[in-house]
Amino acid sequence: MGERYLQEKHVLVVGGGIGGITAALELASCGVRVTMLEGGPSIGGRMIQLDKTFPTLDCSSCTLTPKMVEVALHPRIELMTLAKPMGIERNGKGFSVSIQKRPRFVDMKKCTACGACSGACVMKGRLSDEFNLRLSKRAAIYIPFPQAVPQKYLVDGDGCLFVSRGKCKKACVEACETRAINFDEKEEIIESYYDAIVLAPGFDLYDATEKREYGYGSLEGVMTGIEFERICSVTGPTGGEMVINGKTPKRFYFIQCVGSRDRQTGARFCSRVCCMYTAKHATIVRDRVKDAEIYVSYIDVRAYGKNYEEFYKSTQEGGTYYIRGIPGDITQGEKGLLVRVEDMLSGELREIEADLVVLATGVRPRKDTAELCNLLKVDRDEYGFIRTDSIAPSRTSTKGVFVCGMASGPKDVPDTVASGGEAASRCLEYIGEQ
Amino acid sequence: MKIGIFLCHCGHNIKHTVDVARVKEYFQKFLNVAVAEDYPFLCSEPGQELIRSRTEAEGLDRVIIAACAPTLHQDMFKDLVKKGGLNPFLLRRVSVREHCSWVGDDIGKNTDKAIRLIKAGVYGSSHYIPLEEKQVDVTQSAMVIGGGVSGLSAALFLSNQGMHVYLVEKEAELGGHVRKLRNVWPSGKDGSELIDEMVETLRDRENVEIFTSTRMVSFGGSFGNYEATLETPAGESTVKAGGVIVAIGFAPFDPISKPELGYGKDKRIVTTLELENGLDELGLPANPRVAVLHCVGSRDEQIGKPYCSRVCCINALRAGQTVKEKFEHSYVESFYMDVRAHPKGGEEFYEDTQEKGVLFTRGNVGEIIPTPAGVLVRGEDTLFGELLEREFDLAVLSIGMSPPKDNQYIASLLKITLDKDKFFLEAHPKLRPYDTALKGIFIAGTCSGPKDMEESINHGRASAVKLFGLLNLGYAFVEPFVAMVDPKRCSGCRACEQACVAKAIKFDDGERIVRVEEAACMGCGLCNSTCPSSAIGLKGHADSSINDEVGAILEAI
Ligand SMILES: Cc1cc2nc3c(=O)[nH]c(=O)nc-3n(C[C@H](O)[C@H](O)[C@H](O)COP(=O)(O)OP(=O)(O)OC[C@H]3O[C@@H](n4cnc5c(N)ncnc54)[C@H](O)[C@@H]3O)c2cc1C
Ligand SMILES: Cc1cc2nc3c(=O)[nH]c(=O)nc-3n(C[C@H](O)[C@H](O)[C@H](O)COP(=O)(O)OP(=O)(O)OC[C@H]3O[C@@H](n4cnc5c(N)ncnc54)[C@H](O)[C@@H]3O)c2cc1C
Ligand code: SF4
Ligand code: SF4
Ligand code: SF4
Ligand code: SF4
Repeated sequence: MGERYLQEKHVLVVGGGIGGITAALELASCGVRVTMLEGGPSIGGRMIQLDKTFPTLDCSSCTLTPKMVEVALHPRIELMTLAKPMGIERNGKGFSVSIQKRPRFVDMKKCTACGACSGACVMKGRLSDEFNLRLSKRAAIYIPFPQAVPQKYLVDGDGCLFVSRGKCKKACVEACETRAINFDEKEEIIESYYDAIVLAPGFDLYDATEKREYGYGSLEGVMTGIEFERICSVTGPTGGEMVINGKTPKRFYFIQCVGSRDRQTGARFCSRVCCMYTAKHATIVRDRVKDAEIYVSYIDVRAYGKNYEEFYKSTQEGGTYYIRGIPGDITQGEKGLLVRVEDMLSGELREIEADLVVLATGVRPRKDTAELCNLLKVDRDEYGFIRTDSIAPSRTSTKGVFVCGMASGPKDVPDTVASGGEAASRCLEYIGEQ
Repeated sequence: MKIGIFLCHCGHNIKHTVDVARVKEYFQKFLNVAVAEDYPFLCSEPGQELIRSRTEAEGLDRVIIAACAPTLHQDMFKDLVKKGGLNPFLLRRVSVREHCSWVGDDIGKNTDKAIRLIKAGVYGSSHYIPLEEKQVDVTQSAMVIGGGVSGLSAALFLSNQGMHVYLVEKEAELGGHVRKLRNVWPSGKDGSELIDEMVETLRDRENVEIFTSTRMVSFGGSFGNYEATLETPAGESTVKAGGVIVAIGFAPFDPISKPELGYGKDKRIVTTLELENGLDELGLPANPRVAVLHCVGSRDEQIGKPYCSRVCCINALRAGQTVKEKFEHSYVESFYMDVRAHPKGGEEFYEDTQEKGVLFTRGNVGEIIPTPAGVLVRGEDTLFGELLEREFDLAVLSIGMSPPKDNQYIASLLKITLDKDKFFLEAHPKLRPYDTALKGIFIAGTCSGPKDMEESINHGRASAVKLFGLLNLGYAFVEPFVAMVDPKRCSGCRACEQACVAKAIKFDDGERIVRVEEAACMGCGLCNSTCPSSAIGLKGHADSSINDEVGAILEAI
């Protein structure tokens, strides 16, 4: 049974977040061969950017890295990073896929991740670090974060002087004892056949600069929730110290539903994770900044998951003030930022001073999901999430293509995990059909 | 003996309150310690490589990993030391996170404690013996308990993959609660049609045996070879299954336990579940006034239900829309704390409900009083801080989900755990949301906490994939921690024989001592604690090991 007949079948999983990781591991443990494509240099997706996860406050790295390593070591999973599908043609029941693989400029077999190259790079400390949401600087040859999988350095082609302009003394090459750096590496196109495809491309976040009234991008001390995750994280720009512009903020203001439940931003939907990640942020602040003043603005607190209501209650009891009402604007005051909000419970118009305002920005489909869906002729909904039905939650409009995780609509980690397993189950049924 | 100690910072988690450098220094000078290293994340790829390569290079005899609790990443770390050439049962985990760094803030004291704990690990593990995992044949069949939408989903997948499936349902009909729903949100489909389709497919499959009106009365065996006795209408029946999926669903909250709401005393007070049958029977006037109450039986600490039931806001919206669709000029008012219209399409549905004219009042309803003219809803408007009192022709209670009735029963038969709200407890709330602590036993759907239909389907299928992954090879490995008798010490008193629930201990009449049947032993250790002569113990867990650990903790440092 199982192993014998499935061994030859080969599934493509697009996206290496927790959704794709779950689907890939389940498929592989049922005997299928899996190729996982990750567009970035490491798998892990958004979850690996998080400091802790609600409602248990488990360290995100601690729960996810072992899964990432399992993917990398699994004998039936082939992992390709810096890779994405470029062309897809239906071929019988399966698909012929051409995969674009960008050069890493580092030989994965030779690199020991010693980091010598990064230290020698002339661009060291001059390029924005995407993993830390541009809150810190890195070199042109780098590793995105300490627990990256694969545990290999890469050259950022745009930032590297040699790759982009053809001239640099290439100190990195000198520094590398194992001679792993290879600037002759070219982009590759790999053609392959797959019996089915699981899409797990995840999500983006609402661009808060669109909400001018909150001054994101212009006012100092206004940041987004995902940026705040990085500030809290040990592997983040401050090494986990709660320090912003050299100071520890004392007055924190969190605003929920930024870019969700908001027709003006084109998103009527609820993003499903921002109430809880805000409660999590408030709890982390309470723990690390003992004398902090913490406010949260909300419309409804959607603490719907297992132990979420209890977590919300304990956040409140820990001394976080929840204000029902979404602020109209944020301005620079004399002694900090001024948040103007109508408290709907008291009917009062209040002005609250804050050192740090965190915008709980909502979820958006990834921009390149549209491209991916066009290649596969997969339908999307009015917002651009991949369309499915509630009876077969991973089935898309194209036979043999399944979806899981945030790509089909907002989900927290446990829901993403369950949807990854469900996608694997449908996929197994599909490839088992004669 | 060559001991290797690996201390993890766990990012902030350990390093913040334990002086890792001091711990490392302490053990570098310790007897027999060949390696003492610290690392930011031992579970990361380079951290793993560190452990593997040092184990191999130094030819270590014991590896001590001082990091998170042993329940986390155990298989991974075992695998690593094995790859480094050491028997994986010579690995010792020391919890310096859960048992130390997370407990206190005092760095000095925490560091001392970490040293003591690691020392206990060093002393204790010196008594370890190399063991081998046993390969056992597993039965390629599954028992699914509960024939609601999650159980049916699991059964559909497993049977499609060729596994033999025993589907056990206590009611006469399959389908659970979805069968009772007329207009399942958001698909708008009829629940019984959805169920019939699933059931027909199952009935057509030869490898599916459906037992309705059936109860499980006993359960035993171990992973890969579980055995259950079923009481079916045709008599008792025994089934053997490699694994089990528990999908016994939920019990709708019964508002009788909130007498102030007047439920059961008046026909004009109904639940959302009763409303599924439509409005026709309710004898409403032409332009009825209808109140909808959210959170009935949820978010209510007074009745011991602090949790949110996740689906009842949407059900309340459905109720409002049902009334509005039938009576355009009705007056419908919903009383809520937060409108948790979170599922996909939920927020739009909420807006749509508001546009249809349903009013939303943020309030706490204290009581419902039936009067001849109507039902009086009394409480507090929490937005305006005023008392409210209004008369309605109908009050609809959006009831929450309570744990399934048989939760305790099934939990004690299967030896699985319930959570604080008496739903089943998952192995890990994030990454193992449908696993239990027992291998091959899963919990799917609402029996582990409130979920809507889509989420219950996801759970049913996702847990089925996991079970299939465990059984599809036809064999599996099990841990070798079984009981072992020291024939020199055994006096033949047979106390352990009484204690053993697995009936794994047999008395040898000739030698007048007891023997252990390893295949039956589940490694629980009950015998160990009953033996007056310390003659029976678990392999790999010697009494001397525990004694030395205690000694280490008490030693001066
Ligand atoms: C600030 C914040 C805090 C959060 N906190 C929590 C929390 O505490 N608890 C919780 O349960 N949830 C939390 N979440 C939600 C959690 O992040 C998501 O549930 C989870 O990351 C979804 O996983 P995913 O795999 O669907 O998508 P992602 O994590 O987005 O992963 C998608 C992956 O696919 C890759 N990819 C995309 N397109 C392509 C392509 N075309 N080709 C190849 N690869 C591609 C991406 O590079 C990425 O690695 C939080 C979210 C945010 C924004
Ligand atoms: C009023 C109401 C309206 C709802 N409306 C919607 C909606 O519109 N859309 C939506 O998505 N969801 C809705 N839901 C939620 C939906 O009903 C659940 O998600 C779904 O029923 C969960 O399925 P399940 O299989 O986990 O449990 P259940 O449906 O409860 O099924 C469990 C099954 O297990 C059986 N069982 C119990 N104990 C035993 C035992 N000891 N041995 C054997 N069998 C046993 C039961 O008889 C039952 O058949 C609604 C819920 C309520 C209360
Ligand atoms: S590329 Fe060379 S120098 Fe850079 S990390 Fe890898 S091995 Fe070290
Ligand atoms: S989860 Fe909360 S913050 Fe996020 S969109 Fe929904 S209601 Fe707003
Ligand atoms: S889903 Fe809504 S009605 Fe149900 S318990 Fe949660 S908040 Fe209350
Ligand atoms: S450990 Fe002892 S009591 Fe437990 S099953 Fe084995 S023999 Fe029986």
